[in-house]
Amino acid sequence: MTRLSLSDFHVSIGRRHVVDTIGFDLKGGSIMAVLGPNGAGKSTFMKGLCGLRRARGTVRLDDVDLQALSAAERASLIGYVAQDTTHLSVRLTVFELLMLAQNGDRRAWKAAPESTRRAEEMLALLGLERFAGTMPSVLSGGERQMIALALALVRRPKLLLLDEPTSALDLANQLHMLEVVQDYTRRNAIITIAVLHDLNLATRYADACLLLARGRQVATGVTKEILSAAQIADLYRVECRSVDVDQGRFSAIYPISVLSDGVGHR
Amino acid sequence: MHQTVAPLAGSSATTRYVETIATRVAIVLALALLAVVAFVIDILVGSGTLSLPDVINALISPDSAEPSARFIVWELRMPMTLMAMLTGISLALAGLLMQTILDNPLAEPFTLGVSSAAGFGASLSLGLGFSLTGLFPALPPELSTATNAFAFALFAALLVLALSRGGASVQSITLLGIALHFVFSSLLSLIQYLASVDQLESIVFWLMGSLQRATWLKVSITGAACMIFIPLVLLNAWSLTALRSFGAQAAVLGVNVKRLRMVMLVVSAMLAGLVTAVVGIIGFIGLVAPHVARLLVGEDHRFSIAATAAVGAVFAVVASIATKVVVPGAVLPLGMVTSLTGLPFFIILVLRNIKGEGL
Ligand SMILES: Nc1ncnc2c1ncn2[C@@H]1O[C@H](COP(=O)(O)OP(=O)(O)OP(=O)(O)O)[C@@H](O)[C@H]1O
Ligand SMILES: [Mg+2]
Repeated sequence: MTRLSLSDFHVSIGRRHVVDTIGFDLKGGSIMAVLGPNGAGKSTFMKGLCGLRRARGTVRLDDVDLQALSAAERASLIGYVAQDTTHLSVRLTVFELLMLAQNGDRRAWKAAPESTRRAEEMLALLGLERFAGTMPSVLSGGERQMIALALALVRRPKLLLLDEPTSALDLANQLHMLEVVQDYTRRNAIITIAVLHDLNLATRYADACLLLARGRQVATGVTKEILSAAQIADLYRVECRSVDVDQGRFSAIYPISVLSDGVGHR
Repeated sequence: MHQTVAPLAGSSATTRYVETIATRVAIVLALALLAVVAFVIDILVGSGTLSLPDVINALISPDSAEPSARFIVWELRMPMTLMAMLTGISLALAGLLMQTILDNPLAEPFTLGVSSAAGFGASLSLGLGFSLTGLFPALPPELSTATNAFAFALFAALLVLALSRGGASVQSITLLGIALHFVFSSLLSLIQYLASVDQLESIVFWLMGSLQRATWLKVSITGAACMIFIPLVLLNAWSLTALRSFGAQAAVLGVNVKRLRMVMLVVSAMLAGLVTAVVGIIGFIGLVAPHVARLLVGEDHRFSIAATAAVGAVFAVVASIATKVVVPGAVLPLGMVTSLTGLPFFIILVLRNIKGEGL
């Protein structure tokens, strides 16, 4: 069973510590939502995990310390979807990008065996077959986000990092994407960490939550226990009500108003 | 050129992908063939008065040919044509690498100040009689100007690298290169100002770029460099495509972005520096050839590297043919011809780009 445990994890940009002393445990097959106000350090935390930013501390995935691995070994375990997908503007088709995602650091001329099969599987899994020969630059922002997820999943990561994966998606695609992610996470017993701004998606899909404010870990734990109206009010400085939907099958969080010490006082 | 919508429902994505690859391989082979044809024509129409049968005879059976024909074909034309080819290949590849690692479609050997540094180094030797070969007496005198030019070209690239310390953004690397370009251009002007009329003439002639400086020794050195660097570049084909597609985020795919940028920067400076040292400043090949190659085979570096080299070779060799046939009885400087023929391409390119930005 896969297991991820972070302790005393720091990420810095230049000399500045942007994210400090994060620590938690997650077991395979679970999804963690990272929540917090703009500028809290959520993206920086994710970049620290996947090696795009300098990080300190221990990150154990099963028995390996990710920090001790070479960049290439570590990359082979991680799939990452950035917050901004506009960089997907190169003149390669989606299928070519899926091949590239699996062979990016390859020395041989030929793609690794199985690459084409996995690329097709991924297109089918996400229902993106019609885009195989399309260039992402001509797709919509939401379509590009789906492609970006495909590019991360096709690498068969053990740790999947998604930075606001649903920010550009319509209602149906938000659910579709997170269903796919949840299903994939459970079935392959991997660990998914997703930055989400939509609290209701978090309550619905996340098993655990990590709340960040000003680069610090405010709280972490099981979603049901953590995501109370009071905790949200505290984190975002917004007054909220917790509402049960569908006879308590889902719990929703409804924002009422910004508290007087809200915006500008974080 | 590229399909932007999925064609032909029914055939699987893999089938289409495999077909695309086959097409690209065919295009690269066709380009290589074109380069060979241009190569043969260049030798046939070379300078000097030789009849076609004489040339062919000297090529096929050098031993039975007349000594003068043999000399013209093997000692004059062959090194020049080979040098034209190596020049095209090296400058085009240097341009492709710089465009990829600096994420800048207008990058080329000039961008890093490599060309003007080489010009300055050459002018030191031609104008002031100072050459680094003085420090290495083992080097033959025919290399004195070339050694200077190469040393300064490499120095410029290493200076950019040192100043950026591998951590700078691609924009600042580009700006540093442009700054160096102006520094070396000014220094070059200074030397031209100080030089005598004769020296000035030789500097100006050097700067125009000419294949007549090619010798077997120089061809062997640049050829050997190509044989070392081209495989190294090809080995990184996937990584270069990843770098071009994802920028710094290529690290997520396991690419060592910093090292790749540094190594390829040095390789492109070496390639451009070596041929510039031998033939002088040759414009536009490094800029135009990669764009033409990408138009033909796309962004996948597994194809665009080979295609760029082939397009560069064709461009340079055809330009070399033009230097000999445009004005009968005279051989024009190669750099002049490439710049004049490259210019229309460049304008088309810029116009395409403006359209591409989609107003
Ligand atoms: N490249 C950078 N250089 C310097 N500081 C940065 C850089 N990127 C982010 N920061 C700083 O780090 C802090 C955290 O930024 P980060 O992008 O991680 O926030 P975030 O929680 O993802 O916010 P958002 O919800 O808006 O995406 C901010 O104070 C920001 O100013
Ligand atoms: Mg963010």
